[in-house]
Amino acid sequence: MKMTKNEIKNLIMEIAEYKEADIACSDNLIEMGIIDSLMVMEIIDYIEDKYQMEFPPESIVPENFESIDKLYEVLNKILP
Amino acid sequence: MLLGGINVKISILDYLEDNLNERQDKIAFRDDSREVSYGNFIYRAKQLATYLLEREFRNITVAIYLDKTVDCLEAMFGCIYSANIYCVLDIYSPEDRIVTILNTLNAKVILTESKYLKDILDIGYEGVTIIQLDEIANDISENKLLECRRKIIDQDPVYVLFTSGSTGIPKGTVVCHNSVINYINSVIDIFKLDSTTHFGSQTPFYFSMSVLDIYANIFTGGTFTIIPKLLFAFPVKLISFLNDYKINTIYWVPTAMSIVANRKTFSAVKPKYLKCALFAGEVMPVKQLNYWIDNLPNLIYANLYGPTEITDTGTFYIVNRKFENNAPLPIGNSFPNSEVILLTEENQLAAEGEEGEICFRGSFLGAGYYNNWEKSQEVFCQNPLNTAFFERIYRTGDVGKYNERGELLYISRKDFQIKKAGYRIELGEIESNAQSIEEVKDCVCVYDSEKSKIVMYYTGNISEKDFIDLLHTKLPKYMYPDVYIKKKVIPVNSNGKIDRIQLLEEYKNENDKE
Repeated sequence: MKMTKNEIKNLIMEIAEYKEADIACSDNLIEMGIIDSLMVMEIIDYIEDKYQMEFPPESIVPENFESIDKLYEVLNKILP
Repeated sequence: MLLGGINVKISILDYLEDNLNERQDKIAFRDDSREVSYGNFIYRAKQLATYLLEREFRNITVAIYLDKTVDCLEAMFGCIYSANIYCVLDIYSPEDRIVTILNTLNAKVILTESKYLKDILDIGYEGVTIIQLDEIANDISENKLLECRRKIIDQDPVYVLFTSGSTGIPKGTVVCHNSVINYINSVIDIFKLDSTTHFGSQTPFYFSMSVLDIYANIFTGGTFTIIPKLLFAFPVKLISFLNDYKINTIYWVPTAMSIVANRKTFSAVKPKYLKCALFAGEVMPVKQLNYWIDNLPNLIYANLYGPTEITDTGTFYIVNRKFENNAPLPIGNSFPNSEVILLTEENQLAAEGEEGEICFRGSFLGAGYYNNWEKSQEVFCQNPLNTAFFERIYRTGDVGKYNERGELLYISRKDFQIKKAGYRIELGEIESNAQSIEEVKDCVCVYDSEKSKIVMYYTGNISEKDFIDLLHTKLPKYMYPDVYIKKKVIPVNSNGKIDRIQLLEEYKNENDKE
Protein backbone atom coordinates (compact mmCIF):
# COMPACT_ATOMS: atom_id res chain seq x y z
CA MET A 1 0.00 0.00 0.00
CA LYS A 2 1.27 3.46 -0.86
CA MET A 3 0.31 7.02 -0.08
CA THR A 4 -0.44 9.33 -2.96
CA LYS A 5 1.03 12.82 -3.11
CA ASN A 6 -2.43 14.18 -2.58
CA GLU A 7 -2.96 12.13 0.56
CA ILE A 8 0.36 13.34 1.89
CA LYS A 9 -0.57 16.92 1.12
CA ASN A 10 -3.93 16.64 2.85
CA LEU A 11 -2.32 15.07 5.89
CA ILE A 12 0.25 17.85 6.14
CA MET A 13 -2.32 20.59 5.63
CA GLU A 14 -4.50 19.10 8.33
CA ILE A 15 -1.73 18.61 10.87
CA ALA A 16 -0.21 22.01 10.16
CA GLU A 17 -3.65 23.65 10.24
CA TYR A 18 -2.54 25.22 6.99
CA LYS A 19 -5.47 26.72 5.19
CA GLU A 20 -4.03 29.53 3.14
CA ALA A 21 -2.72 28.86 -0.34
CA ASP A 22 -2.13 25.49 -1.90
CA ILE A 23 1.16 23.83 -1.06
CA ALA A 24 3.22 22.83 -4.08
CA CYS A 25 4.76 19.37 -3.94
CA SER A 26 8.24 20.87 -4.23
CA ASP A 27 7.76 23.56 -1.54
CA ASN A 28 10.24 23.38 1.34
CA LEU A 29 7.87 22.81 4.23
CA ILE A 30 10.42 23.31 6.99
CA GLU A 31 12.06 26.44 5.59
CA MET A 32 8.67 27.98 4.82
CA GLY A 33 7.67 27.32 8.42
CA ILE A 34 4.66 25.24 7.41
CA ILE A 35 5.70 22.34 9.64
CA ASP A 36 7.69 22.35 12.87
CA SER A 37 9.23 19.59 14.97
CA LEU A 38 5.98 18.65 16.71
CA MET A 39 4.16 18.35 13.40
CA VAL A 40 6.86 16.12 11.94
CA MET A 41 6.22 13.77 14.85
CA GLU A 42 2.48 13.91 14.32
CA ILE A 43 2.97 13.03 10.66
CA ILE A 44 5.17 10.06 11.57
CA ASP A 45 2.76 8.88 14.27
CA TYR A 46 -0.16 9.08 11.90
CA ILE A 47 1.52 7.13 9.12
CA GLU A 48 2.93 4.51 11.50
CA ASP A 49 -0.50 4.04 12.97
CA LYS A 50 -2.31 3.84 9.67
CA TYR A 51 0.09 1.43 7.99
CA GLN A 52 1.08 -0.49 11.13
CA MET A 53 4.79 0.00 10.51
CA GLU A 54 7.75 1.79 12.04
CA PHE A 55 9.94 4.37 10.39
CA PRO A 56 13.56 3.19 10.51
CA PRO A 57 15.36 5.72 12.78
CA GLU A 58 17.77 6.63 9.99
CA SER A 59 14.89 7.68 7.77
CA ILE A 60 13.71 10.32 10.22
CA VAL A 61 15.94 13.15 9.05
CA PRO A 62 14.98 16.68 7.96
CA GLU A 63 15.85 16.01 4.32
CA ASN A 64 13.09 13.41 4.08
CA PHE A 65 10.44 15.79 5.39
CA GLU A 66 11.53 18.76 3.35
CA SER A 67 8.74 18.57 0.78
CA ILE A 68 5.78 16.50 -0.30
CA ASP A 69 7.86 15.15 -3.20
CA LYS A 70 10.61 14.03 -0.88
CA LEU A 71 8.27 12.42 1.63
CA TYR A 72 6.47 10.63 -1.18
CA GLU A 73 9.77 9.22 -2.40
CA VAL A 74 10.73 8.03 1.10
CA LEU A 75 7.35 6.51 1.84
CA ASN A 76 7.50 4.59 -1.39
CA LYS A 77 10.63 2.92 -0.10
CA ILE A 78 9.57 2.19 3.45
CA LEU A 79 5.84 1.53 3.40
CA PRO A 80 4.92 -2.14 3.41
CA MET B 1 39.12 40.40 44.13
CA LEU B 2 35.56 41.40 43.57
CA LEU B 3 34.30 44.93 43.71
CA GLY B 4 36.51 47.76 44.94
CA GLY B 5 37.95 45.82 47.85
CA ILE B 6 34.82 43.79 48.59
CA ASN B 7 35.57 40.10 48.76
CA VAL B 8 32.15 38.60 49.32
CA LYS B 9 30.15 37.10 46.49
CA ILE B 10 26.80 38.83 46.53
CA SER B 11 25.15 38.49 43.16
CA ILE B 12 25.11 36.20 40.16
CA LEU B 13 27.44 38.69 38.49
CA ASP B 14 30.23 37.83 40.95
CA TYR B 15 30.00 34.21 39.83
CA LEU B 16 29.91 35.18 36.16
CA GLU B 17 33.02 37.33 36.51
CA ASP B 18 34.96 34.49 38.14
CA ASN B 19 35.40 33.30 34.56
CA LEU B 20 37.29 36.42 33.51
CA ASN B 21 40.73 35.25 34.61
CA GLU B 22 40.97 31.76 33.22
CA ARG B 23 38.18 31.59 30.71
CA GLN B 24 38.14 34.96 28.98
CA ASP B 25 38.26 33.28 25.54
CA LYS B 26 36.38 30.08 26.31
CA ILE B 27 33.03 29.60 24.55
CA ALA B 28 30.29 30.33 27.07
CA PHE B 29 27.17 30.09 24.90
CA ARG B 30 26.40 28.91 21.41
CA ASP B 31 23.34 28.86 19.17
CA ASP B 32 22.92 27.85 15.53
CA SER B 33 24.18 31.18 14.22
CA ARG B 34 26.91 32.29 16.62
CA GLU B 35 28.97 31.57 19.68
CA VAL B 36 30.30 33.91 22.33
CA SER B 37 33.25 33.74 24.73
CA TYR B 38 32.94 34.60 28.42
CA GLY B 39 34.89 37.81 27.81
CA ASN B 40 32.69 38.97 24.95
CA PHE B 41 29.52 37.85 26.70
CA ILE B 42 30.32 40.00 29.73
CA TYR B 43 31.30 42.89 27.48
CA ARG B 44 28.00 42.77 25.61
CA ALA B 45 25.95 42.46 28.80
CA LYS B 46 27.74 45.51 30.24
CA GLN B 47 27.18 47.43 27.02
CA LEU B 48 23.41 46.81 27.17
CA ALA B 49 23.39 47.61 30.88
CA THR B 50 25.17 50.90 30.28
CA TYR B 51 22.61 51.76 27.62
CA LEU B 52 19.75 51.09 30.06
CA LEU B 53 21.38 52.93 32.97
CA GLU B 54 22.12 55.99 30.84
CA ARG B 55 18.39 56.20 30.16
CA GLU B 56 17.58 55.90 33.86
CA PHE B 57 16.10 52.42 33.46
CA ARG B 58 16.99 50.75 36.73
CA ASN B 59 15.05 48.59 39.22
CA ILE B 60 12.20 48.12 36.78
CA THR B 61 10.80 45.12 34.96
CA VAL B 62 12.14 44.67 31.44
CA ALA B 63 10.40 42.31 29.04
CA ILE B 64 12.57 40.47 26.55
CA TYR B 65 10.93 39.68 23.23
CA LEU B 66 13.44 37.36 21.57
CA ASP B 67 13.66 33.79 20.39
CA LYS B 68 15.92 31.29 22.17
CA THR B 69 19.29 32.68 21.13
CA VAL B 70 22.63 33.85 22.52
CA ASP B 71 21.31 37.41 21.97
CA CYS B 72 18.52 36.63 24.41
CA LEU B 73 21.03 35.48 27.05
CA GLU B 74 23.02 38.69 26.58
CA ALA B 75 19.83 40.71 27.02
CA MET B 76 19.06 38.81 30.25
CA PHE B 77 22.49 39.61 31.68
CA GLY B 78 22.27 43.19 30.44
CA CYS B 79 19.25 43.46 32.73
CA ILE B 80 21.08 41.88 35.65
CA TYR B 81 24.05 44.27 35.27
CA SER B 82 21.65 47.23 35.29
CA ALA B 83 19.67 45.90 38.29
CA ASN B 84 16.57 45.47 36.18
CA ILE B 85 14.27 42.48 36.49
CA TYR B 86 14.04 40.57 33.25
CA CYS B 87 11.10 38.59 31.98
CA VAL B 88 11.60 36.49 28.87
CA LEU B 89 8.40 36.31 26.81
CA ASP B 90 7.24 33.39 24.72
CA ILE B 91 7.12 35.15 21.38
CA TYR B 92 4.98 32.38 19.91
CA SER B 93 2.21 32.74 22.47
CA PRO B 94 -0.99 34.64 21.57
CA GLU B 95 -1.03 38.42 21.74
CA ASP B 96 -3.66 38.42 24.50
CA ARG B 97 -1.43 36.42 26.78
CA ILE B 98 1.58 38.64 26.08
CA VAL B 99 -0.48 41.74 26.83
CA THR B 100 -1.71 40.22 30.10
CA ILE B 101 1.88 39.51 31.12
CA LEU B 102 3.07 43.00 30.14
CA ASN B 103 0.20 44.51 32.11
CA THR B 104 0.93 42.40 35.18
CA LEU B 105 4.58 43.42 34.99
CA ASN B 106 3.68 47.01 34.22
CA ALA B 107 6.57 46.70 31.79
CA LYS B 108 8.10 49.99 30.69
CA VAL B 109 10.81 48.56 28.46
CA ILE B 110 10.87 45.78 25.88
CA LEU B 111 14.22 44.53 24.61
CA THR B 112 14.02 43.05 21.14
CA GLU B 113 15.54 43.07 17.67
CA SER B 114 14.45 45.10 14.68
CA LYS B 115 12.94 42.03 12.97
CA TYR B 116 10.31 41.76 15.73
CA LEU B 117 9.45 45.46 15.86
CA LYS B 118 6.33 45.11 13.75
CA ASP B 119 5.06 42.13 15.79
CA ILE B 120 5.46 44.12 19.00
CA LEU B 121 3.74 47.21 17.60
CA ASP B 122 0.88 44.95 16.48
CA ILE B 123 0.36 43.78 20.06
CA GLY B 124 -0.75 47.32 20.85
CA TYR B 125 0.70 47.58 24.37
CA GLU B 126 1.00 51.29 25.14
CA GLY B 127 3.52 53.41 27.01
CA VAL B 128 6.53 51.20 26.55
CA THR B 129 10.03 51.96 25.28
CA ILE B 130 11.07 49.42 22.67
CA ILE B 131 14.82 48.94 22.45
CA GLN B 132 16.26 47.19 19.42
CA LEU B 133 19.40 45.41 20.50
CA ASP B 134 20.89 45.18 17.04
CA GLU B 135 21.21 48.96 17.09
CA ILE B 136 23.11 49.19 20.36
CA ALA B 137 26.86 49.73 20.10
CA ASN B 138 27.62 52.29 22.81
CA ASP B 139 30.70 52.41 25.03
CA ILE B 140 30.66 50.81 28.45
CA SER B 141 30.53 53.13 31.44
CA GLU B 142 32.31 51.24 34.23
CA ASN B 143 31.43 54.09 36.59
CA LYS B 144 27.72 53.80 36.03
CA LEU B 145 27.90 50.01 36.30
CA LEU B 146 29.88 50.18 39.55
CA GLU B 147 27.51 52.71 41.05
CA CYS B 148 24.59 50.43 40.21
CA ARG B 149 26.36 47.27 41.31
CA ARG B 150 27.19 48.61 44.79
CA LYS B 151 23.51 48.81 45.61
CA ILE B 152 22.67 45.23 44.60
CA ILE B 153 21.98 42.85 47.49
CA ASP B 154 21.35 39.15 47.15
CA GLN B 155 17.67 39.56 47.92
CA ASP B 156 17.13 41.72 44.86
CA PRO B 157 15.12 40.09 42.11
CA VAL B 158 16.75 38.71 38.96
CA TYR B 159 13.77 37.66 36.88
CA VAL B 160 10.04 37.04 36.74
CA LEU B 161 8.89 33.77 35.23
CA PHE B 162 5.25 33.25 34.29
CA THR B 163 3.29 30.06 34.72
CA SER B 164 -0.32 29.24 34.03
CA GLY B 165 -2.88 30.59 36.53
CA SER B 166 -6.28 29.07 37.30
CA THR B 167 -8.16 32.34 37.02
CA GLY B 168 -6.92 32.68 33.48
CA ILE B 169 -4.31 35.20 34.57
CA PRO B 170 -0.75 33.87 34.42
CA LYS B 171 1.26 34.19 37.64
CA GLY B 172 4.76 35.66 37.56
CA THR B 173 7.15 34.22 40.14
CA VAL B 174 9.84 36.66 41.24
CA VAL B 175 13.20 35.00 41.87
CA CYS B 176 16.13 36.73 43.61
CA HIS B 177 19.91 36.39 43.39
CA ASN B 178 20.19 34.39 46.61
CA SER B 179 17.72 31.76 45.43
CA VAL B 180 19.51 31.20 42.14
CA ILE B 181 22.90 31.16 43.88
CA ASN B 182 21.85 28.64 46.53
CA TYR B 183 20.00 26.42 44.09
CA ILE B 184 22.78 26.33 41.53
CA ASN B 185 25.49 25.69 44.13
CA SER B 186 23.52 22.69 45.42
CA VAL B 187 22.97 21.32 41.90
CA ILE B 188 26.65 21.70 41.01
CA ASP B 189 27.63 19.90 44.20
CA ILE B 190 25.21 16.97 43.78
CA PHE B 191 25.88 16.31 40.10
CA LYS B 192 29.60 17.18 40.27
CA LEU B 193 29.42 19.74 37.48
CA ASP B 194 32.58 21.68 36.62
CA SER B 195 34.22 23.67 33.84
CA THR B 196 34.30 20.57 31.62
CA THR B 197 30.49 20.42 31.71
CA HIS B 198 28.92 21.05 28.34
CA PHE B 199 25.15 21.45 28.41
CA GLY B 200 22.92 20.68 25.44
CA SER B 201 20.00 22.97 26.17
CA GLN B 202 16.46 21.91 25.30
CA THR B 203 14.09 24.00 27.44
CA PRO B 204 12.84 27.49 26.51
CA PHE B 205 14.16 30.48 28.47
CA TYR B 206 10.64 31.33 29.66
CA PHE B 207 10.53 27.94 31.40
CA SER B 208 12.07 27.47 34.88
CA MET B 209 14.11 24.41 33.89
CA SER B 210 16.37 26.66 31.81
CA VAL B 211 17.54 28.34 35.04
CA LEU B 212 19.52 25.21 35.90
CA ASP B 213 21.54 24.91 32.73
CA ILE B 214 22.05 28.64 32.10
CA TYR B 215 23.29 29.43 35.60
CA ALA B 216 25.09 26.16 36.29
CA ASN B 217 27.01 26.89 33.11
CA ILE B 218 28.01 30.32 34.30
CA PHE B 219 28.88 29.20 37.81
CA THR B 220 31.15 26.38 36.57
CA GLY B 221 32.58 28.14 33.53
CA GLY B 222 31.33 25.39 31.26
CA THR B 223 29.84 25.63 27.78
CA PHE B 224 26.17 25.83 26.85
CA THR B 225 24.92 24.92 23.40
CA ILE B 226 21.35 25.60 22.36
CA ILE B 227 19.97 22.61 20.50
CA PRO B 228 17.88 23.71 17.48
CA LYS B 229 14.26 22.90 18.28
CA LEU B 230 13.68 21.13 14.99
CA LEU B 231 16.18 18.41 15.92
CA PHE B 232 13.76 17.05 18.51
CA ALA B 233 11.72 15.70 15.62
CA PHE B 234 14.77 13.97 14.19
CA PRO B 235 16.31 11.95 17.01
CA VAL B 236 19.18 10.47 14.98
CA LYS B 237 20.23 13.99 13.99
CA LEU B 238 19.75 15.10 17.56
CA ILE B 239 22.17 12.50 18.92
CA SER B 240 24.65 13.24 16.12
CA PHE B 241 24.42 16.89 17.14
CA LEU B 242 25.33 15.96 20.74
CA ASN B 243 28.31 14.05 19.38
CA ASP B 244 29.41 16.80 17.00
CA TYR B 245 29.62 19.30 19.83
CA LYS B 246 30.83 16.79 22.45
CA ILE B 247 27.88 17.60 24.70
CA ASN B 248 28.16 15.69 27.99
CA THR B 249 25.23 16.91 30.10
CA ILE B 250 21.53 17.29 29.36
CA TYR B 251 18.60 18.51 31.40
CA TRP B 252 15.53 17.80 29.29
CA VAL B 253 11.82 17.30 29.77
CA PRO B 254 10.90 13.59 29.73
CA THR B 255 9.00 14.12 26.46
CA ALA B 256 12.28 14.93 24.74
CA MET B 257 13.97 11.87 26.20
CA SER B 258 11.01 9.73 25.23
CA ILE B 259 11.20 10.79 21.59
CA VAL B 260 14.71 9.37 21.47
CA ALA B 261 13.56 6.14 23.12
CA ASN B 262 10.37 5.69 21.09
CA ARG B 263 12.26 5.93 17.80
CA LYS B 264 14.82 3.35 18.95
CA THR B 265 17.43 5.92 18.06
CA PHE B 266 20.39 4.19 19.71
CA SER B 267 20.32 1.37 17.16
CA ALA B 268 21.47 3.97 14.64
CA VAL B 269 23.64 6.28 16.75
CA LYS B 270 24.66 6.56 20.41
CA PRO B 271 25.81 9.64 22.29
CA LYS B 272 29.55 9.29 22.72
CA TYR B 273 30.27 11.98 25.30
CA LEU B 274 27.13 12.06 27.40
CA LYS B 275 27.74 11.52 31.12
CA CYS B 276 24.76 12.97 32.87
CA ALA B 277 21.06 12.95 31.93
CA LEU B 278 18.84 15.00 34.20
CA PHE B 279 15.12 15.36 33.69
CA ALA B 280 12.18 17.15 35.29
CA GLY B 281 9.01 18.98 34.40
CA GLU B 282 6.65 16.03 34.27
CA VAL B 283 6.58 12.37 35.23
CA MET B 284 9.30 10.41 33.44
CA PRO B 285 7.83 7.21 31.97
CA VAL B 286 9.92 4.30 33.20
CA LYS B 287 9.64 2.35 29.96
CA GLN B 288 11.45 5.05 28.03
CA LEU B 289 13.93 5.63 30.84
CA ASN B 290 14.78 1.92 30.79
CA TYR B 291 15.54 2.17 27.08
CA TRP B 292 18.14 4.83 27.88
CA ILE B 293 19.58 2.89 30.80
CA ASP B 294 19.76 -0.39 28.88
CA ASN B 295 21.60 1.27 26.02
CA LEU B 296 23.70 3.71 28.02
CA PRO B 297 24.24 2.08 31.43
CA ASN B 298 27.15 4.29 32.51
CA LEU B 299 25.31 7.60 32.60
CA ILE B 300 24.08 9.32 35.74
CA TYR B 301 20.28 9.58 35.48
CA ALA B 302 18.41 11.82 37.85
CA ASN B 303 14.77 12.71 38.28
CA LEU B 304 14.35 16.27 39.57
CA TYR B 305 11.18 17.68 41.02
CA GLY B 306 9.94 21.12 41.94
CA PRO B 307 8.00 24.17 40.80
CA THR B 308 9.04 27.53 39.33
CA GLU B 309 8.22 29.08 42.73
CA ILE B 310 11.29 27.51 44.33
CA THR B 311 13.56 28.60 41.44
CA ASP B 312 13.46 25.26 39.64
CA THR B 313 13.50 22.06 41.65
CA GLY B 314 13.85 21.08 45.30
CA THR B 315 14.29 17.32 45.25
CA PHE B 316 16.25 14.86 43.14
CA TYR B 317 16.49 11.13 42.77
CA ILE B 318 19.58 9.57 41.21
CA VAL B 319 18.39 6.34 39.59
CA ASN B 320 20.22 3.57 41.40
CA ARG B 321 18.11 0.49 40.74
CA LYS B 322 15.97 -1.13 38.10
CA PHE B 323 12.28 -0.17 37.88
CA GLU B 324 9.45 -2.14 36.33
CA ASN B 325 7.79 -0.34 33.45
CA ASN B 326 4.72 0.62 35.44
CA ALA B 327 6.51 1.49 38.71
CA PRO B 328 6.62 5.12 39.80
CA LEU B 329 10.03 6.75 39.76
CA PRO B 330 10.67 8.47 43.12
CA ILE B 331 11.29 12.20 43.22
CA GLY B 332 13.80 11.39 45.90
CA ASN B 333 15.10 13.71 48.58
CA SER B 334 15.76 17.40 49.11
CA PHE B 335 18.75 19.15 47.65
CA PRO B 336 21.21 20.44 50.26
CA ASN B 337 19.88 23.71 51.68
CA SER B 338 16.27 22.86 50.90
CA GLU B 339 13.79 20.83 52.91
CA VAL B 340 10.51 19.16 52.05
CA ILE B 341 7.76 19.07 54.64
CA LEU B 342 4.66 17.02 53.99
CA LEU B 343 1.59 18.65 55.50
CA THR B 344 -1.75 16.97 56.07
CA GLU B 345 -5.11 18.71 55.52
CA GLU B 346 -4.92 19.71 59.21
CA ASN B 347 -1.50 21.34 58.68
CA GLN B 348 0.21 18.63 60.67
CA LEU B 349 3.33 16.79 59.64
CA ALA B 350 2.26 13.68 57.75
CA ALA B 351 2.95 10.44 59.59
CA GLU B 352 5.28 7.81 58.12
CA GLY B 353 3.84 6.57 54.84
CA GLU B 354 0.95 9.06 55.02
CA GLU B 355 0.14 11.36 52.11
CA GLY B 356 0.55 15.10 52.47
CA GLU B 357 0.97 18.30 50.50
CA ILE B 358 4.56 18.78 49.43
CA CYS B 359 5.86 22.05 50.91
CA PHE B 360 9.35 23.50 50.69
CA ARG B 361 11.36 25.63 53.04
CA GLY B 362 14.72 27.21 52.38
CA SER B 363 16.44 29.79 50.25
CA PHE B 364 15.32 28.38 46.90
CA LEU B 365 11.94 29.99 47.57
CA GLY B 366 11.01 32.82 45.25
CA ALA B 367 9.75 36.20 46.44
CA GLY B 368 6.10 35.58 45.53
CA TYR B 369 4.10 36.51 42.46
CA TYR B 370 4.64 39.88 40.83
CA ASN B 371 1.72 42.22 41.51
CA ASN B 372 -0.38 39.46 43.03
CA TRP B 373 -0.39 39.74 46.83
CA GLU B 374 -3.41 37.56 47.34
CA LYS B 375 -2.08 34.52 45.55
CA SER B 376 1.41 35.12 46.96
CA GLN B 377 0.20 35.06 50.55
CA GLU B 378 -1.86 31.98 49.93
CA VAL B 379 1.00 29.77 48.81
CA PHE B 380 4.13 31.52 50.13
CA CYS B 381 3.05 31.39 53.72
CA GLN B 382 4.21 31.00 57.31
CA ASN B 383 5.32 27.48 58.17
CA PRO B 384 2.34 26.25 60.25
CA LEU B 385 4.69 24.07 62.28
CA ASN B 386 6.58 27.14 63.49
CA THR B 387 4.66 29.48 65.78
CA ALA B 388 7.68 31.27 67.22
CA PHE B 389 9.15 33.37 64.37
CA PHE B 390 8.89 34.23 60.65
CA GLU B 391 9.58 31.28 58.44
CA ARG B 392 8.20 31.08 54.94
CA ILE B 393 7.29 27.88 53.16
CA TYR B 394 5.97 27.35 49.65
CA ARG B 395 2.94 25.10 49.27
CA THR B 396 3.18 23.29 45.94
CA GLY B 397 -0.37 21.93 45.82
CA ASP B 398 1.18 18.57 44.92
CA VAL B 399 0.47 15.54 47.04
CA GLY B 400 3.29 13.16 47.91
CA LYS B 401 4.36 10.48 50.36
CA TYR B 402 7.50 8.66 51.38
CA ASN B 403 8.08 5.04 50.39
CA GLU B 404 9.63 2.46 52.72
CA ARG B 405 13.09 3.47 51.48
CA GLY B 406 12.53 7.04 52.63
CA GLU B 407 12.24 8.36 49.08
CA LEU B 408 9.56 10.88 48.24
CA LEU B 409 6.92 9.82 45.70
CA TYR B 410 4.76 12.22 43.74
CA ILE B 411 1.08 11.21 43.92
CA SER B 412 -1.04 13.86 42.18
CA ARG B 413 -2.17 17.47 42.02
CA LYS B 414 -4.39 18.85 44.75
CA ASP B 415 -6.28 21.02 42.29
CA PHE B 416 -6.72 20.85 38.55
CA GLN B 417 -3.31 21.82 37.47
CA ILE B 418 -1.77 19.33 35.10
CA LYS B 419 1.56 18.68 33.44
CA LYS B 420 1.59 17.94 29.76
CA ALA B 421 4.72 17.64 27.65
CA GLY B 422 6.57 19.40 30.46
CA TYR B 423 4.23 22.38 30.49
CA ARG B 424 2.35 23.28 33.58
CA ILE B 425 -1.25 23.94 32.65
CA GLU B 426 -4.18 25.03 34.79
CA LEU B 427 -7.25 23.49 33.22
CA GLY B 428 -9.04 26.53 34.61
CA GLU B 429 -7.07 28.80 32.31
CA ILE B 430 -8.26 26.87 29.27
CA GLU B 431 -11.80 26.93 30.62
CA SER B 432 -11.88 30.61 31.34
CA ASN B 433 -10.60 31.38 27.84
CA ALA B 434 -13.19 29.05 26.32
CA GLN B 435 -15.84 30.63 28.51
CA SER B 436 -14.90 34.01 27.12
CA ILE B 437 -16.22 32.95 23.71
CA GLU B 438 -19.74 34.35 23.51
CA GLU B 439 -21.47 31.35 21.98
CA VAL B 440 -19.98 28.92 24.50
CA LYS B 441 -22.38 28.38 27.35
CA ASP B 442 -20.72 26.00 29.74
CA CYS B 443 -17.44 24.28 29.42
CA VAL B 444 -15.15 22.11 31.46
CA CYS B 445 -11.79 20.51 30.81
CA VAL B 446 -10.69 17.18 32.17
CA TYR B 447 -7.34 15.55 31.75
CA ASP B 448 -6.82 11.92 30.90
CA SER B 449 -3.34 11.50 32.35
CA GLU B 450 -2.91 7.97 31.01
CA LYS B 451 -3.30 9.09 27.42
CA SER B 452 -2.07 12.68 27.99
CA LYS B 453 -5.21 14.14 26.49
CA ILE B 454 -7.00 17.33 27.48
CA VAL B 455 -10.70 16.79 26.88
CA MET B 456 -12.99 19.79 26.49
CA TYR B 457 -16.69 19.31 27.23
CA TYR B 458 -18.90 22.20 26.22
CA THR B 459 -22.45 23.33 25.59
CA GLY B 460 -23.69 26.20 23.46
CA ASN B 461 -24.68 27.19 19.99
CA ILE B 462 -21.33 26.91 18.26
CA SER B 463 -19.83 24.40 15.86
CA GLU B 464 -16.80 22.45 16.97
CA LYS B 465 -14.76 23.97 14.18
CA ASP B 466 -15.63 27.57 15.07
CA PHE B 467 -14.99 26.84 18.73
CA ILE B 468 -11.56 25.41 17.99
CA ASP B 469 -10.64 28.28 15.68
CA LEU B 470 -11.62 30.88 18.28
CA LEU B 471 -10.03 29.10 21.21
CA HIS B 472 -6.77 28.66 19.33
CA THR B 473 -6.45 32.43 18.98
CA LYS B 474 -6.46 32.73 22.77
CA LEU B 475 -4.17 29.96 23.96
CA PRO B 476 -0.58 28.94 23.43
CA LYS B 477 -0.36 25.76 21.45
CA TYR B 478 0.62 23.51 24.33
CA MET B 479 -2.70 24.34 26.01
CA TYR B 480 -4.88 23.29 23.09
CA PRO B 481 -7.43 20.65 24.09
CA ASP B 482 -6.95 17.36 22.22
CA VAL B 483 -10.56 16.26 22.19
CA TYR B 484 -13.78 18.29 21.98
CA ILE B 485 -17.09 16.83 23.08
CA LYS B 486 -20.32 18.76 22.77
CA LYS B 487 -22.94 18.02 25.45
CA LYS B 488 -26.52 19.01 26.00
CA VAL B 489 -25.80 19.64 29.68
CA ILE B 490 -22.70 19.49 31.82
CA PRO B 491 -23.29 17.11 34.76
CA VAL B 492 -23.06 18.44 38.31
CA ASN B 493 -22.39 16.52 41.51
CA SER B 494 -24.38 16.65 44.76
CA ASN B 495 -22.70 19.91 45.78
CA GLY B 496 -23.84 21.50 42.55
CA LYS B 497 -20.26 21.59 41.31
CA ILE B 498 -19.29 20.43 37.88
CA ASP B 499 -18.72 16.71 38.11
CA ARG B 500 -15.26 16.36 36.64
CA ILE B 501 -14.85 12.85 37.94
CA GLN B 502 -17.96 11.65 36.14
CA LEU B 503 -16.90 13.36 32.91
CA LEU B 504 -13.46 11.85 33.03
CA GLU B 505 -14.90 8.40 33.63
CA GLU B 506 -17.38 8.91 30.82
CA TYR B 507 -14.56 9.82 28.50
CA LYS B 508 -12.42 6.88 29.55
CA ASN B 509 -15.31 4.44 29.15
CA GLU B 510 -16.14 5.75 25.68
CA ASN B 511 -12.53 5.46 24.74
CA ASP B 512 -12.12 1.93 26.06
CA LYS B 513 -15.00 0.73 23.92
CA GLU B 514 -13.22 1.76 20.75
